[in-house]
Formats: sequence, C-alpha cells, structure tokens
Amino acid sequence: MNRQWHQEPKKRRFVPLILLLLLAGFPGGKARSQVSGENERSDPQAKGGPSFREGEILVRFKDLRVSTASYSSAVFDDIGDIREFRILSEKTGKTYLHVRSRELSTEALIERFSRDPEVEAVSPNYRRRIFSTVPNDPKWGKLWGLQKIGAANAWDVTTGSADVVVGVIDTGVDYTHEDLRGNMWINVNEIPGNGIDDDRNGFIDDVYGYDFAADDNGNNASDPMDTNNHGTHVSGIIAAVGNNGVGVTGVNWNARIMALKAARPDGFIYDSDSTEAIEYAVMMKSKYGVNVVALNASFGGKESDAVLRDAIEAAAKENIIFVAAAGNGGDDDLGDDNDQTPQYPANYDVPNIISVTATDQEDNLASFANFGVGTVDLAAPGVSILSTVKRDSGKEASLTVQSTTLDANPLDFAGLTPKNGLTAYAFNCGKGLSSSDFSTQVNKNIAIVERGQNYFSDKVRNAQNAGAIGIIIFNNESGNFLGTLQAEGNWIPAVTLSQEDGRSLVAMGTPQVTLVNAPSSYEYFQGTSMAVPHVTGAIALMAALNPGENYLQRIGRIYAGVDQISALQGKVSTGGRLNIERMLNLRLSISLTVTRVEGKGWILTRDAGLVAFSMQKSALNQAMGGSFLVERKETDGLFSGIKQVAVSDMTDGPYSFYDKYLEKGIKYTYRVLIRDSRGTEVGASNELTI
Amino acid sequence: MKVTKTFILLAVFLSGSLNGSDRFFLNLTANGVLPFDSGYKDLYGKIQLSPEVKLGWEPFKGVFLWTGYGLAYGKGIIPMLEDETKCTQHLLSAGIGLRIRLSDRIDWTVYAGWCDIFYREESMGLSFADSVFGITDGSDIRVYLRRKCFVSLSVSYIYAKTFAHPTQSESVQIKPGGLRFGAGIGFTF
Repeated sequence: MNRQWHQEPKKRRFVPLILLLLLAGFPGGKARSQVSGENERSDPQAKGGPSFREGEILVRFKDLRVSTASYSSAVFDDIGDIREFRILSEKTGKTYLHVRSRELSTEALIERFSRDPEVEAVSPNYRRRIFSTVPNDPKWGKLWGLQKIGAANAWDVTTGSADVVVGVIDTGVDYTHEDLRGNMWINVNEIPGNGIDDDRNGFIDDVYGYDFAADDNGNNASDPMDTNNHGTHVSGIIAAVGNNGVGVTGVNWNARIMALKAARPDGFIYDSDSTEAIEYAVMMKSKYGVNVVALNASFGGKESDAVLRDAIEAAAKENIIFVAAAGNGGDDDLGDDNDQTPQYPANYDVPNIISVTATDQEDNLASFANFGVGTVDLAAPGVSILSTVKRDSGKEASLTVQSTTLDANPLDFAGLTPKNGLTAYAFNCGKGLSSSDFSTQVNKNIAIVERGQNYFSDKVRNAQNAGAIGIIIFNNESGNFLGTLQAEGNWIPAVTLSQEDGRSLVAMGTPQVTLVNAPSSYEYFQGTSMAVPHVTGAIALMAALNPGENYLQRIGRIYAGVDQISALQGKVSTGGRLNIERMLNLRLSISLTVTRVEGKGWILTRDAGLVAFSMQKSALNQAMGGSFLVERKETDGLFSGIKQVAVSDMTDGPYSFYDKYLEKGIKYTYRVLIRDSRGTEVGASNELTI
Repeated sequence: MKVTKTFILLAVFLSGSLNGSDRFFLNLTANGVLPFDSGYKDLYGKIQLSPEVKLGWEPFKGVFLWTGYGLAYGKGIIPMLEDETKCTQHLLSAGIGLRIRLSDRIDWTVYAGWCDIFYREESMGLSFADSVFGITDGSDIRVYLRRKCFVSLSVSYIYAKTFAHPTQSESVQIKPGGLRFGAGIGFTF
C-alpha cells in the first residue's frame, strides 16, 4: 500500500493542548510535498523551558527513616508538602519522598536535600510525554497489527483471562466505552462514589483505578476517566472486548484493564505521578491479591530519575513487567538511537523492563521510531493502528456501492456525514483540477476524482463549487492513502479510496453510492505508544495461559518468539518483531533437573548437585546469543551465580555439571537464568530444591 | 616423671651401644600394604607402598624391644566428581619381639606391639585428621650379608578400628592399617 501525507501536520481536538500549541507553529501554507513524518508529534521539552515541575523534587534516602519531620513545613516554612512513597519505601527498605514547595525552586530544594548525608539521590520531578500518536485516518489497514503478530492462531491457544489485570499508566481510560467496559478492572471492594475508602487501601473510590494527576499540582482524584484519548486507545489494543460483534478486539479478548491515570492537565506524565501509579499497582497485587501482570508505559523522556527506576524495580518483586515505549524520535520526526540518546523509563537497566519500538505493515522500522540494538528489545506494530477512543471522538469512513462496502479513509478536516452516510450518484470528474472537470450533474451528487496534480483541498473546493455534496478521491497508484485538507473549514465530506476500488467505481458509470465519514469511537493512531500495548497484551495472554510463570520467563518467551526481521537487525536487541503465536507455542523455559549425589572420600563425604539443563541451541541462538547463569541458594538465602555457560558452549542436548562441595543436611535451590547478549535476564528455568 | 623415664631409657640404650655387643638393630623396610578398609581400597588402591624404619634393642639374648615409624600416602579420584583426594597415615609403633637364630646367617624374628596411627584426609575442599591406637604383629627373616648387615623379608599386620567424626553429625567407621609385605635392609650395632 502506498502511504502519503500531505502538507502540515494535522490537528485534532484530542491532542494535548500543549501539542496543539506547538503544532500551530509548524510551517503551513501551500508547501505541497510528501512529508515523511506521518505522526503528529512534537517534543515540548525540546522547545525550551524546564523538563521538570518547578518547585518539586524526588528524594531517595539511604535507608528507611522513621520520620521526615526534619524537612516538614513545621521546620521549614518554605517547604509546602512532603509525601512519602510509602509502598515503595516498604518494598525497598529506603525512604522515598515527593517534595513540593511554593517558595523554593527545584534547584534550591535539591541543594538543601543534597546536604543531608542520609540522602542517597535527589532529582527534579521530571515530566514525560506520551508518545502521542496522533490519529491518522480511519479504515485503513484495520487491525493489520494483530494479524501481523499472529493473533488469530494465538487465539486458538488462548484469548486471555478475566483473572489477568494490566495496568495502563496513561491519560486515563474511557471505562464507559462500548468495547472496553466489559474488560475494565473493577475494585469490587470499593463502593463507587460514596466518598469512603471502603477497602482501606488508602484510596477513596478507586473503582476502575485511580487518577494520580488530577490537577497541575499532581493532586489525586478517584476518577481515571480519559482526558485525552491516548490511554483509551492503548487500552483497546491491549484488551478491547473480543468476539462481541462490536468495534475492534484487543490482543486479549478477555483481560482486565486497570486505569492508572498519570497525565496531568498539561498533558505530561510526571515521575511523581507515574511512581504513585506503580506503587498502587504493586500494592493492589501484594496486599489485595489483584493479579497485575504488566504495566503499560507508553510515555518517556530524556532524563533519568532514581525514584521512578526503583519503583519499576520494586514491581519486579511482584512479578510485574513494565513495558515501555522506546520513543518517537526528536524534532526531525526521525527515530533516534536510544543507545546514544537514552529514553526513560525504557532505558533503565532493570530486568522487568521491556523497551518496544514500532514497525509498519511491511515490517519496516517506523520512520519516527527510536531504536537501539543495546537498549531497545523488540518491535511491534505501531503505524496506523485502529483502536478505541472516547465516544465519537474519532472518525470512520466507508463507501458502499451495490451492497459492497469498500475500505475508505477520511481526509483530515473533511466534513462529516450522518452515521448512515450520504446516498447519491457518483460522477467521474477526472482529476478535479478545475471547474471544467465537474459536470453539472454532480450538483447534489458525489464527485469521483483521481489523485494527483493539485492539492486535495483544491479538488474538494472545486467539487464544492460544482455543488457536490461529497467527494471520493482515489489513488493514482496501487493501494489506499491518507491525506489532509490542511486546515479546519466548511468542507464537504471527503474520503479516499484505493486505485483499484476507484477504477472499478469509475467503470460502473454513475453508480449510486453511500459515503460515510461519521464520528466514531474508534480511530487510527500511530507511534511507539501503540507498539507497547501489543507487547503488554501479549504478556497478559501468556499470564492467562501459564499463570505460574515468572516475569523473566515471560520476557524470555517474548524475546525468543519474535519474528526475525531484516529491517530490525542491528536496530533492536532481538532483531525481531513481536509474534504472539510463536511466543505462546515456544518452549523457551529451560527444563532444569538437579540430582543430589554423594561425593565420598575415605573419611570425608560431601554432597554435590548434578545440575542438568537443556535447550535447543538453534532457538537459543536466534533468541539471544547470550549465556545461561546457574544460580544456587541455601534455604532463606539469596541466589548467587555458580556457573555461567555461554550459548556457544552449548550443544543440542543436555548440558550438565557437578556443583561440588555441598554441605550435608542443607537444602539447596537451583535455577537457571537466561541472559541475552547484553547480559540482561530474559528467561528463567523452574526452581528445584535438593 | 616422663623426663626421668626418658633419661633412664636413654642411659640403658647408650650403655648397650657403647659396649659394642651388637644389641641394637636398625631396619629400613619398603612395605607393600594391603589395606583392610574397603572404602580406603576403593579410593586409594588395593596396594600401597609404605616405607618404615624400625629400631630395636636386645636387652636379653633373643628378646628385643622395638619402636618404628612408617608412612603411607595415597592419592585418589572421587568417582563422578573427578575430584582429587589425598590421604596420609603416620604409624608410630613399639613392642617386644623374639629373635631365633636358624643358622649362622639367618635369623627369624616375631614381634608384636601397639601402634598409634595418625591419619589425615584432604578431600572436596575439606581436611580431617585424627589418630587411633591399634595393634601390630609380624615376622621377618633376616639374612646376614655381613656380620652387622642383613637383608630382611617381612610380613606384618596392623589392625586398628575407630569411628571418625568429620562433622558433628557424621560418624564413619574406618580401619587404618592392613597386611604388609616388606623387604628391607638392616644393621646391628
């Protein structure tokens, strides 16, 4: 298919305000060239100004402090508010604080806290942008992403489970959406709207999740309703209800979405808010038994922060995977190398993070998508992804002729039709270059024109002048395309068709057609933001199929199951794009056996563990090319490595060795970690105690 | 008291030596030991070389007191683990014997006594050492090459049995020693 984008980036009402303001500064006018940057992106951080919230810092102490009273407003008038990340502190044995002041600058706060020898790390409260995806145009490609990753066959194995919960740290979720409400996680221990913390988890009325960023100061509220569209779109990719005859389906037909709204009204996600969201998910899992298996993080920024990193690491202890977007490049709309210019949280060297970039329908790395063979793990579909948006905030286009509905795309900014469309006769008007191409018969009917030689806006304007009530523009080369009318205006409804469909239509003479360009609750977005939920959804599927697997096993399964893609070699560490069918059917887990044997001297005896494990070398090479680390621990102790085996030392068949000199009477537990070529753990065996 | 006893013994020893009556002998023997302990045999082999030196004093004609020192050293490989293991046994012994003259050039001796075996094993990153008392007896034939020099063929038996405790919870029954066949050279003075 040929994709083409014309003129300036498009503006949509669901794009964060800040983006709109910035986008307004983009060059517009009549420049008519095909632009490669298809997604409406801008980096407010690159436009000057701080990339953090002024007057706020995040602090990590060396150990658990009983009290932070020495910093309280009772001692310092200029410190307004201190909040402890209580759950994170409990999990790590260190105290973490979010400090706000109206009097002091961030710099002054950092300087003050840095003087305390008990403080281990202090940083500004960095903000991160959602890798926003801008709506493209409806009805193009439909759910190609799911087809690409083998979803249809994967669903023969499992379609997901309502017992599996995924946290979406984003702009919120439209939990009333027709295709999402059935898969929303509901806190059954909380009575909605009674203003009481019924389950005593510290959060009032947290029914679908929570809003950790209700205002510009990051204050909290109970309602995680989407204030943008991004979080709803992401959620639909993960788990729009499947097989219900409505809209789209997610990677999971069944799974539960926990809405963790962390985007403030300014459109940014601040580290304090995302940290709170992670804490909430960890707490709900560890203390309330909610089976959160993954957190979706389709956001990022350039700055590193110890508190957010530690929060993600704490989630690993609860077997929660953190799936992060590799990012959408910089000001040039071209993807950057994350090995050189890190994106956080994706670049944190934490074992439960998966960094995801985006590919298009042809398995090319999306032009906007960041990459990094050392830091980005895999790719997933992220271009023109159709998913859920808030009610009627998207657009849907189609063209029906002789009871056959053709795929159509709306031209951006084109006029809308009623949901049942406009029905009229379609007249061929050539290329619509001037009024002479439009016959008088097109008046109150629909014009068909071929793409090329003038602006779309000129073609539409000419049709309007001829009295057409709608216009169809078909491609001048194979496939369909996306386009824009550049600016808001009193445009008639306009849709695009593929060259094949357009020619067929012209060949029919003057067929009666029904043209639809109506508001929809579904929309095409693109970006690494859209790639991430494919992977998050894959984790939820795995958790449904194999509830007992640990996060390393799941990550290993994802990595080993990728389709090797030539365009991704040297771009991502696995060299591949997500394939959930292979992932589910892959036998990645190493089967470990350990037999206790007695080492017998004349007088002295000690035990040894005969450790044996095996895995097909070919699969290993494709997946990782790394090594295995055999670890052992004594009862209640910590695992420590006892032997590392390089993949190159493995042969097909079992690998075994004696772990010598074990103490008699002591039980030992073994496991094998799989490490990729970067040394990151990507899988683990079963644990065995002898 | 010990000092006094040692002094007396030394005086007796020297008095005999100084009068030139050939009441002493020194015998250096190379023994092949067939260990009794099956665990030991499995690891360190069915036969081991063990040098020994024996010193005797004949206070009365045909009756002698003797003391000796022997060493046995073994090296083995622990099955499966292919780990090297080492063992040493130091044998201190003393006793009484009879020497019977069979001809001008041939004597036959029989002897018995006590032994203290100091044993040590180094294996699998550990080492263990202890000692055990046992008994020994044996016999040898001496063939005099010259008046004060003889060669000997001997057979002897060392028996000890104990429980070694390499750890608090472990108890291993061991039998150091074994049946020894030796050939040696000796001197009288």
